[in-house]
Amino acid sequence: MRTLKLLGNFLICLAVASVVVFAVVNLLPGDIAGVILGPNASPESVAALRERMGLDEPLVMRYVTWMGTLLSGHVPRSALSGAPVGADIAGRFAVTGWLVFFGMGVAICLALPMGAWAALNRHRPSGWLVSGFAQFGMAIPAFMVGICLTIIFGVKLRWFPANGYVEASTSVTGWLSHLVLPSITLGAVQGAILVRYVRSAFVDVLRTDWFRTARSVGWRRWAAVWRHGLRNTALQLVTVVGLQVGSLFAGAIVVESVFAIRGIGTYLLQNVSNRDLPVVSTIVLMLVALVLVVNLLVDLSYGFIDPRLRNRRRLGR
Amino acid sequence: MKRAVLWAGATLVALVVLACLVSVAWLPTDPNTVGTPTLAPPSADHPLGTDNLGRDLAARLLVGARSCLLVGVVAVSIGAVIGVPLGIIAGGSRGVAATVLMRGADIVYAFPALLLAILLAAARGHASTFTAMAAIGLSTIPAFMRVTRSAAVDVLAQDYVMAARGAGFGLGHIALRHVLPNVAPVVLVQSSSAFGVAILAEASLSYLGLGTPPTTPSWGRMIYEAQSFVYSDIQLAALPGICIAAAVLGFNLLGDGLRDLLDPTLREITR
Amino acid sequence: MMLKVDQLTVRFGRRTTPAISGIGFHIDQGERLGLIGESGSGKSVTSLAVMGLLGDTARISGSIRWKGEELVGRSDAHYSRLRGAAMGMVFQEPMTALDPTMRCGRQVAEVVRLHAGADRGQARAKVLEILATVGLADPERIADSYPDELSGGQRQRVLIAMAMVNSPQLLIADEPTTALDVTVQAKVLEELDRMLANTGAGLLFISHDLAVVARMCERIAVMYRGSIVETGRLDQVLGNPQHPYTAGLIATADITSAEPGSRLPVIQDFWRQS
Repeated sequence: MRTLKLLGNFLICLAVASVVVFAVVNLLPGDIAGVILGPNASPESVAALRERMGLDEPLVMRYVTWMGTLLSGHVPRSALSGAPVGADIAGRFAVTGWLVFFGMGVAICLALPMGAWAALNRHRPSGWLVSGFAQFGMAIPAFMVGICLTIIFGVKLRWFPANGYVEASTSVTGWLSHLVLPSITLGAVQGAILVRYVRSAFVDVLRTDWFRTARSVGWRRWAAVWRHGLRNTALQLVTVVGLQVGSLFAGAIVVESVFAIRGIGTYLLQNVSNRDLPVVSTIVLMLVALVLVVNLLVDLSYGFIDPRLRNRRRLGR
Repeated sequence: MKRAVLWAGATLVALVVLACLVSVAWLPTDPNTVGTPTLAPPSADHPLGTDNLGRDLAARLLVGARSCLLVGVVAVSIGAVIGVPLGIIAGGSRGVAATVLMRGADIVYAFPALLLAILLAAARGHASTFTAMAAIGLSTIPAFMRVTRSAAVDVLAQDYVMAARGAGFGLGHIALRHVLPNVAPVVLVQSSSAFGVAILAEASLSYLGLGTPPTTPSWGRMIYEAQSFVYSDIQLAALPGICIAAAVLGFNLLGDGLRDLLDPTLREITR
Repeated sequence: MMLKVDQLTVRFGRRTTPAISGIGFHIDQGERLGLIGESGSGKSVTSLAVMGLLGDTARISGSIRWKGEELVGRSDAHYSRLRGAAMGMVFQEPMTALDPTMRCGRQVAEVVRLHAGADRGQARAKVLEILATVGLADPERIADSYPDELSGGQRQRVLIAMAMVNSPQLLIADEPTTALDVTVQAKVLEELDRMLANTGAGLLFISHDLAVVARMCERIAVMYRGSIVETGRLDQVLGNPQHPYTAGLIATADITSAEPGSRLPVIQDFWRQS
């Protein structure tokens, strides 16, 4: 029942999001064909493009055509070259997917211990230091972190490749080493944001009666946090990480630019400068859909994480 | 300790505002004048040296404070002006209306500022300060809605609001007289944090060439332009980077300091 | 002497007025001391200080000796070996004192494994045994339940089981039955009484309720505004209170003696008399 409701919500949100994307592109003043071809295009070529893109059809029909294409598992052709771009998009998404995956891993590995440390030592200088460090991390733009890491570890020390990307099928070690600096860049910035949430979640844990009970039966502070804190904050942390997926993908777009990685972000930017509107709007909708899917998964995961929700289902409450 | 955070934040913010005011009143030289020497070290004419086109770095940094504050002010205003009333309405309404409003916030939340900016830039055919500000502003609406709504729900449950309703005052009166003053502190805190986020977003957009146009100096864009020279002239990227970090840190700390000031902290006994 | 507290003073943060000041008492092997006083008098701070559970903001001076060994200033690692093994503690609020995401049996079992190093099977057997001892009728079911599936009385019994499972020499009970129904309260006290008698453990019993303290303890210490104002054998203190606060406490505890229709006595009345 709960699952069905969440699924229905998700579908409604997705539908509205697609209408929003469509409306932004099609309802803002300015002729789409004119925008795509630029100010110096001849009226004939504009008319030809309008014809090819079906821009003379009613808005609703064009929306239905767009959605029909997407729902049948295809993507619209490039407005510029008329070439199919489905394979390109899929390949680029795979690259960005790995970057986001490893970036999230780095973020969590940084934020969990730092946040827990900051919470446990919140009345001591070492805790303030960690919180302050996270504050600095939050204030530094991702591309700045990327540039610094490139200079130090890519150029000066030559530990990792400074830019580019190698497919795992070509060389697994090359693939991994090319992902190191971009993942750390993406993860460091997201991790800094995450530290605050982890810290406040753990501070809440430290103030609970059951944490006091755990301490009173002899658990050391870290042991008590490890045994009881993690499972009790899991719900909150999964929610926060889920909500961060959107900004993680947005961050990936920037990080790909810094490291010249041919992922979905650089592809999107390239199509923005080409003014290839059908491709841009399709990729944007895909990214938004991805965020909504992750939010749906987070909502669904509550039932598995929280025994209270689980019990309610078992007892039919 | 709490006061220290607040003062550190306020000082950094004041520095950015000061830089902006100074840039309006006085500049060492015109920030866009191209000339020689290029990539010069600091001198009497150019206090911080020049960039690869011979433009004065100090002047460009000062003027950069303007676009930073402009984007922040406009974006936060968009977020607050739209988000706060919607949040109050969502807090005061029940059933379908509240659900629709909060679902709407969820949908907007699924569009990160960067994606909105890309979409707007693509639809307009070119990126501009306007598309950047609009995108950042729109993307901050859900956060404003959420904090306002939860604060409004708390206020509306108070006895004196019930009494005002019982006395026959309309919802508009209650929203203006009771809810708005009570949600103002959280909106203030949220504004400060949103300001920091907006500055970072603007820097990223400028770095990607989706924000401020090349003729207007902007910190993010300066880093982008300096990227080819970072190995020889790191200050070209480092100084604007420090400016961005200081501004964001300032607004974040100010927000945190205000929050602590307004939030009575729990007394802790056990460890 | 098992536990000896001397000149114990605790301050929080930058506050200059201490939460408790100059506290001193002692508990011998198997002895039961009741600590009584109104809320805010510093009873809980005293008990947490003995357990070494006060937060980082607390500044502690004075002496807490456990079998002659000074505990004030000892590391948390050292203290942790005592907690749950030599000393156990039961708190006031059973509804929130158990980890809501963990089955009750596991929470008790982990205490056994932490201190006794027992394996899973041994721990489980011991858990079921102690759950039965604290008066839980269906130990298997209770052990496999999450806290929110149990009543307040059942949860408090689980917490007593956690505190007593390693047979500590001292149990500190901070208002253990205050949050429970009166009928449940009587049963829980009865079981606590029996367990302490069986294991020979000492008790520091904290309460604002004179009747409950009188039922559980042979000696009492009366706390008022952060200090112990009176201490002695139960019958001595009750029979011949020296401090006006104690006299007030005794008079207000027994409202059955009040004339119907007359004003009930309050503590302030006894201040004015002195």
